[in-house]
Order: sequence, then structure tokens, then C-alpha cells
Amino acid sequence: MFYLGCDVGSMTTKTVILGNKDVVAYDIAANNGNLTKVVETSVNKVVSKAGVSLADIDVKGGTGMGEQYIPFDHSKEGIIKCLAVAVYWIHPHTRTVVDIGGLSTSVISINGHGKVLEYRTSDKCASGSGFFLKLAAQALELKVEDLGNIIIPCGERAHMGTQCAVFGESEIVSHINDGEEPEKIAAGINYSLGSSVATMINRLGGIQDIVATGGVAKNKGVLRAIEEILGMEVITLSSIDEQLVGALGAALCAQQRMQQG
Amino acid sequence: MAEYSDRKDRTITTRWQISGDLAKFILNQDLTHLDDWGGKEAVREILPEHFQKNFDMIQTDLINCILEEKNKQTAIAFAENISKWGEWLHEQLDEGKKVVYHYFIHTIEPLLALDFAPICFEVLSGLTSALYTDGCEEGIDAIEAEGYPDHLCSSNKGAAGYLLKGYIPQPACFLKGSAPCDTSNRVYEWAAHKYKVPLIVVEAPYYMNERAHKFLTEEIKRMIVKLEKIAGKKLDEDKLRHYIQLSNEAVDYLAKIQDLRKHVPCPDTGWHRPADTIFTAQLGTPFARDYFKALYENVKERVDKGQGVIPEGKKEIRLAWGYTWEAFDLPFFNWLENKHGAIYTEDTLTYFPMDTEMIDTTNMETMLAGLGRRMMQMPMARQVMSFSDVWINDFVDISRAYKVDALAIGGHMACKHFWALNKLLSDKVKEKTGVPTLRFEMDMMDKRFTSPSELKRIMDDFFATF
Amino acid sequence: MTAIEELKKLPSREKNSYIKEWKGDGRNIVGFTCHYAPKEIFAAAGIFPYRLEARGTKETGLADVYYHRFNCTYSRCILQEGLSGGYAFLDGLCFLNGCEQIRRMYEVWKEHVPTTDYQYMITVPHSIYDEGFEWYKEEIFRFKEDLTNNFATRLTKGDLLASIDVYNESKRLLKELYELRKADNPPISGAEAMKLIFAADIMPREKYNALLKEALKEIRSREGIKDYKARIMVGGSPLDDTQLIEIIESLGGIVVTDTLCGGSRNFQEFIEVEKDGDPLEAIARCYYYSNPCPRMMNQFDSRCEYTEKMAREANVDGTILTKIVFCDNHAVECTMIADELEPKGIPVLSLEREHMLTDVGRVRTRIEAFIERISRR
Repeated sequence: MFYLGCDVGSMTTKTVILGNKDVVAYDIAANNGNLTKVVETSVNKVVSKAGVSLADIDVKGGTGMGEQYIPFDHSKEGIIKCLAVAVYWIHPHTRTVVDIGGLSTSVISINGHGKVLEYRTSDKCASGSGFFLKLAAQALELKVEDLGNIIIPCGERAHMGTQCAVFGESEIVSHINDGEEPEKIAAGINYSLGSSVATMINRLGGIQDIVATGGVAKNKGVLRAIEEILGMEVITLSSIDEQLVGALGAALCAQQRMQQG
Repeated sequence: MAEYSDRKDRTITTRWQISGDLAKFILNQDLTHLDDWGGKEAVREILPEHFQKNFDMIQTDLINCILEEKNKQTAIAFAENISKWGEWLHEQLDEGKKVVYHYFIHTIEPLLALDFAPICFEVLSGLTSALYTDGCEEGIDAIEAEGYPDHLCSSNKGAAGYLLKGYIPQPACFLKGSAPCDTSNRVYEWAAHKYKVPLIVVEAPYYMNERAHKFLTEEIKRMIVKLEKIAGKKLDEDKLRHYIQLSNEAVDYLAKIQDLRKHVPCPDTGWHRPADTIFTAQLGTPFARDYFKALYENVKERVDKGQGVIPEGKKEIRLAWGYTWEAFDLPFFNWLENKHGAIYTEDTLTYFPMDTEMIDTTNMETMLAGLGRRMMQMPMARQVMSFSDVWINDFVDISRAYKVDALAIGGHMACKHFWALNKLLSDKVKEKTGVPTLRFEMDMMDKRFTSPSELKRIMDDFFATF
Repeated sequence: MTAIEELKKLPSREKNSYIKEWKGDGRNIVGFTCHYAPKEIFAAAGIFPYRLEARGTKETGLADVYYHRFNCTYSRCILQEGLSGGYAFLDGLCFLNGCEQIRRMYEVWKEHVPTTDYQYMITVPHSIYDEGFEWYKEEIFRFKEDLTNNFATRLTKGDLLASIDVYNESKRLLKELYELRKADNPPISGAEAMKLIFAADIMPREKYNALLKEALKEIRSREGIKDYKARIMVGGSPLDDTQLIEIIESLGGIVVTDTLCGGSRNFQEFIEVEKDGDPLEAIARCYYYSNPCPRMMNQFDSRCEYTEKMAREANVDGTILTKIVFCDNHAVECTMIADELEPKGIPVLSLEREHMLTDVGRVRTRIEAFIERISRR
């Protein structure tokens, strides 16, 4: 039996098809243009990769801030629960899930059964999110993917003091005009974002066994910054792309719902 | 029946009065949903013409919400008393009575007794935000266009903008307690300076003890002296007694309702709760008394029958609300009940403490002392004018007494002092009661900050974790 | 080292030898958060009053756990310093309800900054009137009792009179400094002057007076600064470092006066004790009545007068009023003041900023354009 999970986020749409034990196909699409069309195209790609048709899939779950644009019948699943369920499914030792997405970050505390105990989501601010990295990469004329590999020790990276994405862009330009090396600015940006996320984790409290998910979890610079500040390891899931966790969770939640009748 | 006035400065208040009349008309029809009539378009056609324009302004979801059976009785009470209040207010204005804009920590009995036409500044923003699709954003944008910052409170900005646009009457003076906050203090100071009228300040002293009460009582006396000069008359003791008796009755009903809400299942619907503040700002008027009386009867009836307000088969989730909520989306609380079984027990914005006293009306001294005591308990005075333990203890008391499952705090973006305490509050409640907190950012009266659909998504995500 | 160099050092708290020496002698230091704190009383009780500052704070990760982005960076930076141990040397802290952001720090600090044993809150009414003064006076009396009981110190009338003399002397010297800055060719830059002013709160006052007196001798002997484009007055949200002033002056402005809480507001009135009068009452009277703070209601006209007076006396070409993001008091005040002063021929730049001034490019652009507008040449 197959289960489909679709996570329509702020910047990307992620779709997975889950088989009995593993993800058998997936897609990550940028949300350019008509969101319903983006979702349709992504889902069609995934079912094609899995060698099935959409009609063959009885259980479909949808989540994310654009969930209402999913054009077929599905069960609506809350993103927080999806993230918790998925991470616990892969890594049952997890007790803190940190999802760093395009426009928002969530930190979730779960118990030994994968149940959500408490959570916090980020404020309505781009500076603690992937969107800020995108702005920063443009200003530095780097690729977003390359930003993550820039890890420079404290004392050598540029200091990013502002907490506003708009002022932040101005700050980056100031650093460039002052002759600061792009790598040092990039390292400063990674640290600044990591610091925002670490603050959120500290606000939640009770931190242990941290797993990071979401697109920004691919940025090692940000993760190392979080580790530096918290003094704790932050791991990512090796068995799945960090961005797909929400979609996997939607499939798992839909499966649970079906099993519970 | 209210008609649209030619007077620009009655734009807002006339609109409310007509909405009240319109709601009464609709509620007296024997239907439960707009779609039963053929949808909003079809309904407009059968409405008397002078209701049609107003009908178009009102949020569709709100109309559907008040047509639900469980909400009808409270909606009728709301509509009737808004309509009567509007009618009364326009009579006062026609008689040339002077307008006093006041903050809602003030009880208005002295203003009524001095024959002013008191209007709560924040209700101007709040009621427009609650009723109409366009909310009070026009007012907000007007004051921001003058260069004032977006981080001021929308409850003040809406009304300030309406003043600028001439949609509300010119005041004789402003009346402001020094609590709760800098943002409201600054807007009132701006307004008094701009319109060259007096700003009467009543200092809300920092403590919740006898020293503070004594000082505040003297402040109220000083306030009355200043008001008397503007009114051109002395405060009449019998008149004050009359209005305090009305406010005592209202507060008595409010205290009883608060007590009944502890019942499981909760007997009170949620849609009207933010709107209750409109009538706590009117304590002393017969409309406030009648409104809370009707609310009490509605709640008592359910308690006597052992009824709740959520659909059959749903498990009741008992929410308490923290400081502020989305005033722009009253049906949101109805949606919470219907979709998630989440009821609204209490909040710390309309909460009077359990041992609220009635004002002793024996003589002027007892009445003024009683007004002082009451002002210390008014929403936003009690929570803010002193150290945070008062507020934290209220959260803890509410969580326990109302058997709360979770605390929801719609953190108003302008509320700096709340945000400075936000973690302290949620940690203490968790520590003492185990109750978790959902905290999210929003703007109390500007739906552009966090939209109604986003709020629903936040709640969907939250209840999925329950 | 000359007196000016000593004053301009503005050492960080960790390197402040005055703190070390004071503590080394077994004496107490009590911090305070706002101008309404009666420093003369601390000093009379043998306690060094230290105004909380967040000079050099670079990030607010710890503070952000408790506070929020809707709280101004000034308050968050101060809380950050507390939480990171930057104020571990304090023996106590006197809070005041100056503004919402700072006054709510009382509880957060009490709960989460473990190093400060003694905390007190002095409450100040929000408008100026006789009965409000009586409240504030009583608050001061209670504070004095509590402070002296807690630190087991005696405080006589003589101690208070002596302390008042010392602080009045500071005011006299500071007034003189500001007079010198009014010259057509000021003998001292704004940045340098602000450092001298900030130094007042980081060392014992007697020491400060002696150094400032010496410094003034040197300043008087200097040749004045001729090379500037515009004379500027600075006001608005609290400043506790000179970075903004340095930016203004790097762009051709010269800051010749201010309406800052940490600046000219410190010396508006001397404390005068009548013969056989009560020095505590005189202290309360001076603090309550002479601080043109925008948190006070019904005082806008007098604050506007004071702002205009300061601008005209220093013959400024323009005023730069800064408002820290989410600072309600100053954000409204800046706009209202600008609306009053511009028609009177005093140009105003209203500039938003954070406490940590990192987006220098944006700030420079705006100041540069303003100076171009008001330039004398």
C-alpha cells in the first residue's frame, strides 16, 4: 500500500510517497507561479516515479501553510504534528525537533512516544529563516547552497548585529563596502541565523537530543552555530532529505488516521 | 430606527447603530444560515434599503455566526444594546452634550452623572474592527500616514485616525489613566495636543494595596473637579448613585457569569467574549446592565440544563485566553467550538477577580472609594499597573478554577510590557499547573498582521498536537 | 594620562578600575535604570550609583529568550548584560517605572539574574502635579529607608547635604562644558563631549568632578573647531555610546548640544535646600519637576519649549532625533517635536535605529542627506 504526503510550504512544495517501510519517491518544487499547478505537477512527478497513479493511492495527507492549494481529497494534518511524527519514526531518541524553513522556524519538544509536549514557532520575521539566507546570498553573489559550507571561527567572521531582515540587508552592504571578505560576511550571517534559532530553542527549554529539519538544516554553518551556542550536538536525519520531513509526516499521519478508522 | 446621518462626525457611531438594528432584524427571521436564504446577495435584496449598505460592510462569517442557534440569544442582546446605546448616544449629541473620550480602565459613572457623552476611544476601534470587513484599518492607516509608528496599539490608532478623518465627534476633553502603557499615553497626549483640548490624567499607582487605593480615590476626586469645570456643573450625589447602582447590577451579573463558566461543560459561547469589553467600557449605563443580564440568563439556562456549546460527540477542550485576542474575528471563537470543541473559559482581559466588591452607595465618600477600588480591578488596570505577580496569579487561578487544558495567548504586537513578561507568565503557569501555553503574534485590531486564515492554521496545528 | 584622556577611556565594566577599587574597599554598588533614580541618596549612603548601560553589547541571545523582538534593543541589551554576568559586581539594583520595556525587567531580572540580591522599584507618576510630587517624595523616602536598612548604613542630613553639593558641582561643571560647546568654534567635538558626560556614571562622583574640572581647563585652552558643515542637536531614545555622534561628525556635522536623558537632562536644575529644609524633599523636588521626559503626560508643550531653547541657545542648524525601534515614547515624541520645530525654522531628522548600530550604511545615508540640506557651506 502507498501513502502520499504533501507539504506546501512558503517557498517550496514537497511530496513523498511512502511504501510499507520507506519513501519510494519524492519531489521538491519551488513555489513559482500558480500554487495549485505547482502542487499538481509535483504530485504527478512523484506518482510517476513510484510507478503508480494518484487514483491508486488511497491515503493522502496534506500539510503546510499552503495546504489549501492541494487540489485532491486528502486529510489535513497540522505541520507541528507531522514534523514530530516523522522525526520520531526515523529517530525515536529525538526529544527536540528544530525545523528551519523558508519563512518560519519551529522548535518542538516531544516525549518518548513521539507526542508533542510543547512547541514554539518563530515570529513574523524573515530574519530567522531561509528567506534571509536567500537575500543574503543575493547580496553576496553566492549560491544559497554554498552559504552553508562557510564555517569560520568566532573572531574572524563578520558581526551581524541587526535583527531585522531589512536592516540586515543594509548591514551586509555596509560590510561589503567596508571591504569585508564575502566568506566572513557569510559566516556572520550563518551565525546570526543560528543564534536566532538557538534563542528559540532556549525559550522552549528542556532541550535534549536535537534533530534539525527543513531546508535550512542543510546549512552546516547554521547548525554549527546552534551547537556552539547551546553546547549540544544537533543532528540531521541521514535517511531522508531534511526538506521532506514535513511531507513524510503528512503521509504518516494520514496512515495513522486510516488505521484508527 | 437609525438612519444614515448627514453629519460626517457621526459616521462611525451611526454605522454601529444601524448594524445593531440590522442584526435585530436578521435575528428575528426564522433561518439559521445565510445560505438558507440564498446567500448574501439574495439576502440583501430582501432587506429594507437603508440596511443594504450596512449589510455589505458586515463580515459574512459574523452574520452566519450569530444565526447559529446557540449564539442567537447573546447576539440579540448584543444587537439590541448596541442599537439602544447608539440611539442614546446620538440623543446626547443632539442635545449638545460634551464628548469625553476615555480609556477603558475608567468606569464612566461620574461622566454620566455630569451629563457628558462618554465614548471609549478604544471601543471606536474595537467595534468597527469586530463588525466590519474593512475593520478599523482606515483609521490606523490615517494616523500612520501622519508619521506615527506602526508599533503603537491599533486600539488607539484606529480611533485616532477616525478623529483625523472627522468620522467621530470632536471631544471636549480626553480622560486617561496612566495605566496600562506608554503607547496609549502617547496617543492620548498627541490627540489632546492636536485638538487643543484638556487631557485629564488619572494616575494609576503602581501597587495593589491600601496606599494605592487611597491615592487612586483622591485621584478620582481630582478628576471630578476637573470634569466639573468642563461640564460647568457640580457632580450630583444622587445621580452618581443612580449610575453606580446600574454598574453594580452589571458587575454582579458579570461576576455570576464568571462563576458559571467554571462548569463542565462550559455554558458560555465564545463569539461574544471580545465584544463584552464594549460593555465593560459602558458600566453605569442601562445597556451594559441589560447586556450582562441577558448573558447571565443565557448561561444560567445552559447550566440548569447541563448543556455545553460544542457539537455532540466532540471532546471539550477548555481554553483560557491570555492578554488580548483577535478582536477583528469574533466568529473565530465560534469556529474553535465547532471545529475543535475548544471553548473559551476566561481571559485575563475581561476578568474581574473572584472577590469583586459592589460599590457601597451610602454616601459620596463610599462611592468614590468604591470607584477607586473598581478601577484597580478594571481590565488592563489590574494586569498592568502593578508587579507581574498579580497577573501571573490570575493566570494560575484561572487555570485551576476553570480546569483549563491550555492557555492561548494572542500576543498583541503593540503590548511591550506583555512581551517582556511572556516567558515568565507561561513558565509560571506551567510550573504551578502543568498547563501548556500556545503563544502567537498578532495585532488585536489590524487583521493584516496575522490574517484570520493564518490564525486558523495556527490553531489547527495546535489542536493537532492535543 | 591627562584628565580628558582618563574621562574618555570609558572602560568596560570588567576593566573599570573604579569598580574594582570600590568593591575592593568592601563598599557597595547599586545599579539604577533611569534618570529618576536619586543618585544623591545612594552616594550619601556610601553607595556608588551605577547607571545601567549596554555599551558594546553585540547580541541579545540570552535576553531574547525572555524578552521579545517587540521589546526595544536598548532594554534587551541591558537584560543581556545582566543575564551574561556583566552586572555581577552589583550589590543591588534600583528599578524605576520609566518606561514599559525597562520596568517589566524587574521581574525577569529578579527571577533569572541570580547575582543581584537587592532589588527595589521606585515608582514615578506619569504627570507633573503637586499630589504626584507627594507620591514620588514618599517613594524616595521609602527607598532611602529600605536602602539604608538593607545595606546597614547610616544616612544623616549632613551626608545628604554633602552629597547634594557634590552632584550640584557636577551639574555646574557640565553646564560649563555645554556653554563651551555653544561657541561658534566649539573647542570640543560632540563625540568627545559625550564621552566626558557618560563618564559621570561610571566612577565615584567626587573623582569625576575633579577630573572634569581639570579637563575643562584644557578644553578652554583649545583652538576651536572651524571645519564643520552644520551644527547639530541630538535627541530621542537613550544613547549610551558615541557611535552615532561619531558618524554625524564624520559627515561634517558637529554635535553641540542634546536633549538626551543621559546628556543635558542631567543638569537642568540644581538641588536647592532651604535653610533648615529637608534635603530629601529637595532631592525629590528636583528630580520630579526638572526632567523633560516624554513618558510624562501633559508636558509636551514644556518639552517642546525646552527642545527649542536648547536648539536656539546652541545655534544649531538642525536636530537629529533618534527613535529605537519599538520605543513608543520617543517614536511619538520625535514626530510631534518635528511637527513643531520645522515650521519654526529648525529642521529635524527623525531617524529610526537599533541600540546596536550595525546598519551603518543606512544611517550614514540619511544623516549625510540631512547635513547636505542644512549645511552652512
